[in-house]
Parts: sequence; structure tokens; C-alpha cells
Amino acid sequence: MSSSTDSPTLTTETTQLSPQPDTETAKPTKKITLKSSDNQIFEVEESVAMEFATVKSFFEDSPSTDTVPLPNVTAKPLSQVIEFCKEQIKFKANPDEAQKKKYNAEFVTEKSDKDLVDMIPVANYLEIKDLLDVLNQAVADRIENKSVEYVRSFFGIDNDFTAEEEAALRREHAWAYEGVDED
Amino acid sequence: MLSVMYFLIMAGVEMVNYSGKFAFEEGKLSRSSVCDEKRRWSDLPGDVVALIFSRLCAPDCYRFVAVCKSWSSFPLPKIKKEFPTLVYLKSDGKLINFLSPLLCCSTPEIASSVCKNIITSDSTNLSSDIEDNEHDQCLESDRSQSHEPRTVSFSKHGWLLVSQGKYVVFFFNPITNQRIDLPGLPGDECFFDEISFSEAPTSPDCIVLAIHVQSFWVFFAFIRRGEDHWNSDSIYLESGFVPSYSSPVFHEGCFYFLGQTGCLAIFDPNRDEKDELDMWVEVDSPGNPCTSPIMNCYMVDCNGELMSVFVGHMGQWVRLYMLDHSSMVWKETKDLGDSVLFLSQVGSRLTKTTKLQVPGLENRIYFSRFNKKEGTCTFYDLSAGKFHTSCNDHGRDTCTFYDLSAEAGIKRDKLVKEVKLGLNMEKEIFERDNDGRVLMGLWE
Repeated sequence: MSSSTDSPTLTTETTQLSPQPDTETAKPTKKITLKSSDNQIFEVEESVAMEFATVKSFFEDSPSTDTVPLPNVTAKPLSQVIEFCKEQIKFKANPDEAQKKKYNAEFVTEKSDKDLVDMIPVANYLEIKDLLDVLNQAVADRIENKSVEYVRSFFGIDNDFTAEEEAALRREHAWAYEGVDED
Repeated sequence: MLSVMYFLIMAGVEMVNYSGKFAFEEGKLSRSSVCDEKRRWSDLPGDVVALIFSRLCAPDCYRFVAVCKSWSSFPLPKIKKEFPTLVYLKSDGKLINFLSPLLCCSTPEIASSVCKNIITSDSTNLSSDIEDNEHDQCLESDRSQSHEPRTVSFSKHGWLLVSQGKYVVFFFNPITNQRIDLPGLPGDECFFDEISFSEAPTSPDCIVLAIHVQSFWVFFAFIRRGEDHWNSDSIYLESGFVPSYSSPVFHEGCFYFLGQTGCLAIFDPNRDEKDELDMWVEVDSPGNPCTSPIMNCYMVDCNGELMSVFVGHMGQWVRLYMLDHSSMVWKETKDLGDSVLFLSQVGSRLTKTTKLQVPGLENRIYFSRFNKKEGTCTFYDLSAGKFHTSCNDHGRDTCTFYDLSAEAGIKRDKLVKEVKLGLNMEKEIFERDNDGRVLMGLWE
């Protein structure tokens, strides 16, 4: 266990987390180590890690573990998810709905489409409901009134319909294709 | 005096509760999926995609299912944009039921198309969902504690204007459950029996007009959004005016009144009140579409054109007129083109059939009138020049109004009785409505 009183630190140089001043430096808080699928190590405070329902239950099952491997999660979305959860913990300590809303909105606004889409499976896997809600709404907003082709490229999905099948779908719901935004 | 039935058109899209449990293919979050640069979203568990899907509005949903095969199995929203639906306000003012006039149509292919795409055949479930919400909402918001009957006086842009007794009037949106109360009507001199409004109450330009016309006098009261009282006055008419049962229609900044034989009067709330005679202008001779004074007639603003519809005695004929603005004369027209007209005396609407996404509705006029067991609507086919009821045994029944009960000139309680005895539909509703207050409206 790390004896550092610093906030979560990263042992790799490729990803950076903003330092968080710890107001309760008197007693060192427990750290939990998360290991991403691309073998990056994240040390986070226990309170942050407990936001991840998957990690929480992992610890409940095997409390003696030092490092939680997250084979489904790569470093970049994980670092973003940790960043989000750290903020949420602050709001838990000092509830301020307006600020929280503002933060959540800014959090998704500044992310690229790819970042958002990459975070969703992570939030889903780690079972972070609040984040999943925020992400899903942001995605729904971004694909609002967009063409089918736009949505495919947004999610990185290949069209697996035959030309006939697709034409039939469009014909059937022709009204839904009227007035769609330009890509 | 007021029509007893009216349509409701849903412009908004019915909210569908997604439980998040879809009959979606069992996907697996494979260990490599997130690591791969090429993500396989189509391999993700249905739950995740379903969560996004549940946040989309209906047109987006209809495109979403065309993205890839594994997404094509999401259940689509049940009701489409601008799908017309009948609504009732029950006698206690607590419940509103929705019913699609198109559910049962005169040709089997239309009926199946409707069922497949929109309602999935179950209008009762739909009603009950909304009923539950409605029930609580109305009970809670009943600040007046009045037991006077509520009636829907007008409907437009998704809002019902409900009046209760002589003074109480409020806006109600049955989908969002929003209620907007208006100041009490100044009803000392008369009972304002015609109420209309220009725009949705959420629009800054909304103006509500309550009016009572009795041969040589016009009593009016209007209120603009932001005002805390009604502006009311009366006007003496030298020539007199016999109003029809059709609610005033807001058209080009003024409220238009249809008289019983097709004459027109225009009320302009923006005129200086000192020139009150200028507020009420009767159009000299807009033509005389009907000769008999007791007549079903309707007026509707169709995309900036004023249209009137007259129905002959016992439904012997239906005539359609457009107002020619240069001469201010009604000009008869025989064709609605690719549009369908939904008529009621407290709010009517012309809709393009392409928006309804149901083939074969072109050139039809739906009336706010029930038809037999299925509780569907009477329509008039302009191309064929015939009234039709809904399909029974795939055949086309031709009928007149007489079979279905007439609406104008018949007292409300009598109509309900007839519906109860003769039409045998929506039993539950009518059983609870034995005091005769059954209302339906056109709501867009």
C-alpha cells in the first residue's frame, strides 16, 4: 500500500490526472490500485474506487487483493472515468446540484465523440450509473436528427444490411428521414 | 350548444416506457472489444445500446434501427408524430382517453399497416397509461374544489383549453400533465360559450378569446400572455349575427367566426378598444354555402388558408370551401390533395398523409364522431363522395350521420344516451358518464 499522502498518482507517464489537494492529509487514505488492459497502473483513493460497483464487489469477494485487474478497460477512458468519479465524490461531500449539473455538462461537452463512445462500455462494465446516464444522454444529444450514415460513423459501425434491406427500411419509415441534418 | 365530441391529434410523440429489458440478442462484452481500436458496438450487450436508444426521440429511433442488423430489433415508439387520436374528458374531469380514429380503417391493408407501425393494436393499454397519470394530476391540481363539470372548449398545438363552470378556465397538456390556470372569467353578464386561443400557452404571442354572441350583441373577453386580467366589453351589432357551433379560429392575427349559413365575422383583439365597432367586422358576402340554418359546419386554418366544411342534413352531402382572400368569398373545392382533414367543432386540423405514414388516407375528412363497436371515427371520402364507417368483415359500410347520432343541435345528454344505447362502444367510459358530459377534442 502506498504511503504517499498525495492524491491518486499514476505510475506511467502517458496519462495524466489533475492533482487533487487532499484536505484530510492528517491520516493517509487507503489507496487501491487498478490495472488497465494495456497494463497501466492507476492508484486511486478507496472512496473513488468504491464508486465502481464492479471493483467494489471484487474487493468484497477477495479483500486481500492489492491490484484489481480490469481486462476490459483501456487506460484512456479509465482515466477519464476516474476524473469524473473524483468530482462526484466532492459533490457527495458538499451537495450542490447546480454545480454538479454544470460539471457533468462540461465533462461531456469537452470530450470528443470517440472519447464518449469509448467511455460508455467502461462505465457500463464498472457499473457507474450516474456516469452512464450522463454519457448516454450526451450521445443521444449528439446523434439527434442525424443521418443513419452519421450514426454509423459515430459509433464506428459497419453497415451489415443489404442494399435491398436498407431501402425497404427507409421506405417503411420514410417520414423519419425528412429534414435530417446535413452530415 | 357546444359540440360534444372532438378529436385530438398528437403532435408530440407518445412517450414509451422502456424497461430496459429488450428481446435483444445476447451480446457479450468480449475481453478484447474495448481494447480493439476497431470497436464492435454491434457486439455490445443490448442493454447498453438500449439505454441510449431509450433517450432518443421518435424520429431518431426510426433511423437508429437502420444502423445495423443487431440494432434493428429495438421496439419502435408506438405512436408517431402527428398521429391523430381521439380524447375524452370524463364527466368528473379526471380522465382523458385516447383513441385512434385510424385504428380500424375501411380497407384491411390500411388497418394492418396502422397496427404494425403505430398502435400495435392495443389502444386500451395506451389509454390506461395516460389515464393513470391524468388521474393523479387532475385531482391534485383541482384547487377550485368545484364539482362543476369540466368541458374542453378548444384544442390546438397539443393543448386543451378546459373550462369549468362560468368562470374557471385553464390550459391542460395531457401528455406532459402541465396545467396553466388563467384568471377567472368576468362572467357577470353572460356565459362565454366559445373560447379559442391563438398559440400554445407557452408562446409569448398566446392570446385567449372568450366570446358569447347572441343575435345583436357580442360579449367578449380576451387575455394576452403576461396579463393578469381579462379585457372585456360588449359590442352592439346593428345587423345581427347567428354564430355556428364551430369555435372561432385564429387566422392572420384575428379570430374568425363562422356564421350558420357560411357568413363570416372577424374579431380583432388588437384594435383600439375605443373603436370597438372596428373590433368586430362582418364580411359582406362570403357566399352562401348552405341554405338550411341547422347545419354541421366547421372552420379550420389550413396552413394559412381558411377552410370551411358544411355537412348536409343527415350527411347527404359534404362541401368544402376555401376562403379566397382577394374577394373574401368562399370558393368550393373538391380535393384535399395528399392531406387528410380531422374535424371537430372545438379544433380541427389538416394533416399531410405523409406525416401520418399511413397509406390511403388521402382526400378524407374524419369527423369527431364515433362509429360502432371499435370506437373508430366516421370519415367522408371526398374522391368517392361517400361516408364510410370502419371495416367490419373487410367490407365497406356506407352510412349516414343518422346511424351514428348527429352532434349539432342535439343536447349533450341525448347524444350520450344514443351512444350508450346504439353504438355499444367504450362501455366503461360511457357508463361512468351517465350525466352526459362526454367530450372529445382535436388536439394537434
